[in-house]
Amino acid sequence: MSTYPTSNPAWAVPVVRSLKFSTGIGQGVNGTEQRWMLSTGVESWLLPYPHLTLAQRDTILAMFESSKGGYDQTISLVFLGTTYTGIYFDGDSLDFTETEPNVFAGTVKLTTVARAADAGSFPADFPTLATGARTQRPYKYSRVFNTGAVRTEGSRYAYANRTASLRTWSAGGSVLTDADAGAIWSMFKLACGQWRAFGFTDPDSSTRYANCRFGSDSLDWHILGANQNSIQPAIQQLV
Amino acid sequence: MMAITNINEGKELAVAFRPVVFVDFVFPDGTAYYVASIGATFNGHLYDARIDDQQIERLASLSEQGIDRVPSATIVLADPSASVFNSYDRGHGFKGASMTLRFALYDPPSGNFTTDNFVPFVGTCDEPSSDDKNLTVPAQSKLNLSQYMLPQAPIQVRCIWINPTTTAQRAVADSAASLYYPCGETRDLAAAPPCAYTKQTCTRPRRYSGSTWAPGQTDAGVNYISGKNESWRNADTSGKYKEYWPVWLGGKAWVSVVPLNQFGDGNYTRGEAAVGIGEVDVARVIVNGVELSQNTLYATPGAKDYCWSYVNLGYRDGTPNPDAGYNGKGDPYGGLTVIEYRAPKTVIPPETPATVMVLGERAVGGHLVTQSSIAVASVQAGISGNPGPIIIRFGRVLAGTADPGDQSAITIAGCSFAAANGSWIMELLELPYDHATLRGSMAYGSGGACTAYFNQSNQSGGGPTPGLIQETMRLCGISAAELSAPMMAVANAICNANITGTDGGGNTYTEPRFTSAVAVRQRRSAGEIVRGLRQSVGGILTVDNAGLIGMRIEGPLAEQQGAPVDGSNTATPITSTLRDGSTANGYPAYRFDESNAWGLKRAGQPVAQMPNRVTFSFQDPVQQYAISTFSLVDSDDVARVGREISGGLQVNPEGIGSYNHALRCGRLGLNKIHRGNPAGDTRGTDWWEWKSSFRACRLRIGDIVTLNNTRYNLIEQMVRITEIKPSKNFEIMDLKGHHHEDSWYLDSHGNAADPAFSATPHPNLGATVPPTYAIGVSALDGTVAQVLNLSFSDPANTYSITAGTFTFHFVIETDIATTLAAAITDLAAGSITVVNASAIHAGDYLQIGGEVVLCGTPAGTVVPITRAQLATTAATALLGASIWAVQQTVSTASFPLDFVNSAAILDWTLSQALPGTKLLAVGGSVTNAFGESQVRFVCLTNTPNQGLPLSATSGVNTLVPPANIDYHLPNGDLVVLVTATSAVHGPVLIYLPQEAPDRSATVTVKWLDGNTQDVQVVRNAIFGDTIDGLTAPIVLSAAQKVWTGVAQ
Repeated sequence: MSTYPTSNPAWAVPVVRSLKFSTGIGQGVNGTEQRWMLSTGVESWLLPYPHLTLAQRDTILAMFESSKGGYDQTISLVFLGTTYTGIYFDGDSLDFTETEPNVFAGTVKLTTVARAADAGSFPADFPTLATGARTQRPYKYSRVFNTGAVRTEGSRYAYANRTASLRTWSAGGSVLTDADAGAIWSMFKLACGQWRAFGFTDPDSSTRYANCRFGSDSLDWHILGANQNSIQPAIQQLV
Repeated sequence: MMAITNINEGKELAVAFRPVVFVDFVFPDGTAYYVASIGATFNGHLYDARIDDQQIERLASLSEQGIDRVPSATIVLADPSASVFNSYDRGHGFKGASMTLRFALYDPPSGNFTTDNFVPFVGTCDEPSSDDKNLTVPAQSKLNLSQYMLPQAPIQVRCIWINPTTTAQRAVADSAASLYYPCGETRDLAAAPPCAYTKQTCTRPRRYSGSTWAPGQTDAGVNYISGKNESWRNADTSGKYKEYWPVWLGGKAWVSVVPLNQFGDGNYTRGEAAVGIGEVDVARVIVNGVELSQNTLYATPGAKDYCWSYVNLGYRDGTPNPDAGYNGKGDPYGGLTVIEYRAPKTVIPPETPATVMVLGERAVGGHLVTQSSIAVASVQAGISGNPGPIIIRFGRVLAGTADPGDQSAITIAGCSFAAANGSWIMELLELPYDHATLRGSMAYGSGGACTAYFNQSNQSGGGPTPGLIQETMRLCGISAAELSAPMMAVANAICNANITGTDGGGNTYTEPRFTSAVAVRQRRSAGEIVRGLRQSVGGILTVDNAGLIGMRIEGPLAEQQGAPVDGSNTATPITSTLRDGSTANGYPAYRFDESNAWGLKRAGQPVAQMPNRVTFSFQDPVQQYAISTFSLVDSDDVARVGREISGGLQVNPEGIGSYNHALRCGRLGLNKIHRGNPAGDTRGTDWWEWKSSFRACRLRIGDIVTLNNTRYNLIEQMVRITEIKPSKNFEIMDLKGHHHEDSWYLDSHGNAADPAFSATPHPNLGATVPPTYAIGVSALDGTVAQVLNLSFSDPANTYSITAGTFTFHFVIETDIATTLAAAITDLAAGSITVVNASAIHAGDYLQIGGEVVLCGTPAGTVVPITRAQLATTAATALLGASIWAVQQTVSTASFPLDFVNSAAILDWTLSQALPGTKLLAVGGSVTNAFGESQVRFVCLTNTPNQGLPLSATSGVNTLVPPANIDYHLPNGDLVVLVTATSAVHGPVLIYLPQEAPDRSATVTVKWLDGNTQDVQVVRNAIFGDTIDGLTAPIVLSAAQKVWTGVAQ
């Protein structure tokens, strides 16, 4: 088992930390869902290296070589003070570009083979930001129907599979503190992606919708700098 | 989230546990390998998360494998390094390994599983395939009957029974369930060494089953009539060696059997014929078209001409034929039924193998057995001081299957030799079949006359079908231990139940509901035989939760699912009909609606694949078991599609035991093809396909579920599941089924004549019930009355309705005929006195207030009347009350065939312009192919205007439903005038239309003066509507007479 270097070279920002679950969804004609968790998820990191020296580049390439590309899945990574094990290079090729004399740029993607299920009490509601806001602009709000329609050359025929729309919201934001980003990240981990349902309060009307879930099984946490983060999950209202 | 419990609870959760299929491989050397999609410890085994994909073959009704369980499964293992291949295929070999799939639910956060699981598949692995990423292991079900052929045993020189060759095998060779039982060699290997399956090496010569004996190729002798020497060639019967010993699964049937040998003498030809394996009760024998009578029970020298006898009754121990020509040198045919036939050479030329037809019978499991007795002459235990054998002497020759045979359990009572009183097994019936050896122990001694009791099978021509299927499975190696005894018992009870039928002469008789008779001589797949038997009774071979095979008989919901079903999401009963027509509750195996099903679609079929004449054959007991061709046509469908389409049922039914049974089978088959639709006509059966999640994992083929869908207007529609296709880990289930009707399974179907329009009128054909309809005013023209919302409370015989007649009764309010000269104070008064009766004639209708009366011939100013006409109510009236002469006009409508059952009826209206009049009542009737219905009146005089004014200014969408009838309102702005005066009916319910398509429409419902019952305005619950947020009905009465609401 080898340890991925965290210094000399150290990665820069923005780091993209991704979490991907797999949820099975059976959705009835009227939109009622049954969901089951297929995996406890995998986590990956996209580590940017914009200004490497030749020696630093070769340090990473040596690690890549000794790992036989994506073969070795026993690499460990220390990220934000936590050690992650069972990691592999997510790809069999690794590219660096010399952007200036002796300055090399590239990106490394590391991924876990598996991860343990998260323990903890699942909150009943999506977290509110520390400022009291529920989301940051640009904020997207949608309503979705489900219409079965056929357009002929002379007309159009339609059937409303659902007579009321379902709402989706973009939550989080692109200028979040570490605490706000961590709360959303924790919520996503405990929800296991789309699996669990929670309450979400509409930012416009302040109406609480009790039966919502994340709109996707994947979530990216962009670490932009010190106490500067971007996480923008979609929230989906359920029937 | 709740803690994980069992599958039934876990599969219904919205945030559900993960479905997992665990796979156990057990290699031929006993090594096991456990894999799943996830890594987990389950059932005490560590499962490797190796499964990349699974393909589980669909389960289909009447599948070719014979049993409705998963026929095959393929497991794709992640193996990029070929480590599994090297470890397990190279190390142990997947081919021949058993593969067991086990379903459970898993909670990843807690790592716990459901407390229960079930096994959807057990199979045997084929050779695996391997590529750069995966190792793919296919497996076939162990219970695939299509792999087995019947009959199994060829007619051959070698013995067909298996000789036990080890001590362990010989230890069980006397057990009837053992493979070695027919040979039954139990002695040690030194005393009776393993044989070479030849007659010479056989150590149990009376059980030898090879056919070795052959007469000389030529013979010569003296013709007993002419007295001359003759010579002839004996038939070459070696063709028998490409035939098989017939298998009699049960019941009574004709079979063409094979001559084993045949030779002549001076006057006769004799031969032996292979009837079958085991005991077959031969009833009749026809050789070369001439029926022979039975001679003595067993073949003996001498006796009569034109005769047949048993060589062996199928007993385990046979005896070579002692008749002339054989002289005890033939074969014993152990465990086989063989007859000898004998007839003059003019009937059976010795040179040509005879054509031998045998009507035989074999009892099957589930037959009633009755205790019989037989007199015993003496019993002796031991000889000369030795402890054995135990000999029982009957004092007469035992005569066939009516008497006890080898292995019969017998009980002796009344013997003066006390030790002989007890129970024994009859080991061997000895020549001349008047005494037998008993198995067991008995103190040395002897006794005299006493009585032996034994169980006798009651063979009645056909066998209960589940027994035949069980026998077929037994022959394929499926033991009784692999069967679900409770399921088989229920199936037997349904099949054995006596039903009453009516023959062509109108006489009634009783017979078991389903019996079958099958004997197989030509080699066929066991799966094909079982499918045919199942088709004949609507049988479903499936498995219970423990994986045991059981038979279910398709039937009405209440019979098939008479109690809440394990794994169902509903315990709400549905009113159903049993086979005898009585009412009982049934329970759906699952209730599908728009919250738990998706992708619902109706599958279509080409007309060419929907036969409206089905034809199959069966052996008819009434016709001496002659093979009868049965054909049934649905003439409605012939008329619909304009041609006859001949064909068969899904599978050719096998072994049908009676004409009544054939009729029920054919009728059920035609109904399933054509009439499984809400109208019940021949527009075709609805086949529904949809998807659901693993909520459906407990469903089995043949289950009846209910479907609910707004788009297709399905409300608690019963559907019988015919196909189930699970995806990986059973996450998603593709389901298919057809419309189910309880009435298809009525026992009375066997008595009914052919479908409608046959030569014999259908007993239910005739006039229909009168139409139900409402009267309204056109929204476009207030002078036009409309008949609308036409419906029928009973759909019987509505197919051929072609016309409707509606009589509009009205008055012109300004044309007062006269007035009352005396008040009407008596509701039963038979006459009225008017001011002027000159314009009144017998037969006239008069309106007086809210009542319409029918006039007799006036006498001066006194007019005899019949009260309360045109559905009005008798009422009092004041002196001077106005009287109007009622006028009428008739309007007719024509309908296409089956209009009543079409969607077009929903939009149908009949308009009648009556400007300036007041409509009092409308009488309506319809005409079908068999005559007129009765007239139903809709009365309008109990309204505030004592009639419905029709003027250009009225323009109000007024609707007057029939009095005292619950009514569903159409869409649009409406004023509804409701009459509720029947205490028998009670409150009249007015159902609001669905709000969504009626949005912004205003509905006013009025409780009319004179009503004695409440009127309730009821929301449309099907679509989840409310009335101003409430679900309770609005109650109108004298206290609140009007309600108005706007659809939201």
